[in-house]
Amino acid sequence: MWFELFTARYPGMRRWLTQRLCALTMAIYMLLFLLRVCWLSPSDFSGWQALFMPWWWRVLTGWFFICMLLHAWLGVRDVLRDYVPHLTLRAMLQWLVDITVIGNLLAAGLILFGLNF
Amino acid sequence: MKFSLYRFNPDVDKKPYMQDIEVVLEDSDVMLLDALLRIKEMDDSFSVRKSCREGVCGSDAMNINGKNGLACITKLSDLQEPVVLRPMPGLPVIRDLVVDMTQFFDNYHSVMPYLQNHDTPPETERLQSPEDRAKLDGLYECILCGACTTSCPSFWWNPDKFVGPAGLMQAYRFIADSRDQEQDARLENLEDPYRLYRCHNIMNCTDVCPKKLNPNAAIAAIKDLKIEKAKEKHQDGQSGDNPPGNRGGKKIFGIKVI
Repeated sequence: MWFELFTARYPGMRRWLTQRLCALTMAIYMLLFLLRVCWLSPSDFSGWQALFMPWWWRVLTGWFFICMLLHAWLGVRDVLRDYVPHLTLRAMLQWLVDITVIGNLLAAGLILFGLNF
Repeated sequence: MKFSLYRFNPDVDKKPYMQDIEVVLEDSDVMLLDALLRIKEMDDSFSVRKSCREGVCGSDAMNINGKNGLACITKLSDLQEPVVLRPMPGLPVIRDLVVDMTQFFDNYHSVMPYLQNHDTPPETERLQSPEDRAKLDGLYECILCGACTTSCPSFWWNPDKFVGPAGLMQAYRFIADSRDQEQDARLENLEDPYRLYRCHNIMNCTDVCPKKLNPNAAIAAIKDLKIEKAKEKHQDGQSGDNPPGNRGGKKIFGIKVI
């Protein structure tokens, strides 16, 4: 099964592939976003509100944020592993990154689904 | 011509320093290596490694004006003065421009850079079709000078874990070889978060390669092949064929039925 590539048996491949798939998803979303902006031409607050009104668009946008944050988390994780050899310091920085990512995800979710449309 | 040379003799110097030097060149001095040999005539304590002096052995790889290259095939007329010469980055300096390449060759050896074929050797050579042979073009020409690997930041940070562009290109040279029978084992050998996947495609390796090879493409080809292999496995599973390694019978309750 090609899905096996995302299991612990392929620790290198699953991270690399996840990051690429996230990037692909983001690229597709941004294309759709541009098309939608061109189509609806929002010029004021109510226009932007209408853009994000359909539930399916909010779900897609939420998926975009998940992909973006996962992509960023994997990237920063690699950077920390490369540049910070001190284990305790790296764990602390990674913890900060984790908190930031989770915070961003919650904020995105709150904005997308918590607002009174 | 003006030069700024990295100097370090561990027996004498506490730390490295840059030495400015001006050399009077002769008409026959065309390449950087010629100038280095002039410097060596002036100061025989200056150390530089060289052998074939024609871009085949890869001994005189060094950092030339901030970019790795071979001194013997670098034209003096192409260089901006003062020519700043440093040893290749990321490897321990033995003396002046000479670096210890043990780690580089350890990584190279880790990919088993030799043909593995378990069939009885034929009377003459193992034959390939012209198409299969063409797949090795752009791979076998590597002279292992180390210019690519030592210009790769991923190698600088994880020299003992990341194989590096040169090693990975040699890995692919044997993965792509139709005569080799250990393709799966070779791909498995590169499966951990560091050995292959620390390459982030910044393409320093391709930029500096004095033989104009493309290690980055080889690395990408290995990743693609891994995905192709997984797809093949998936298709084999769907068509009901036996998976590789289980040819000749199905397993029922753990017993192989032929």
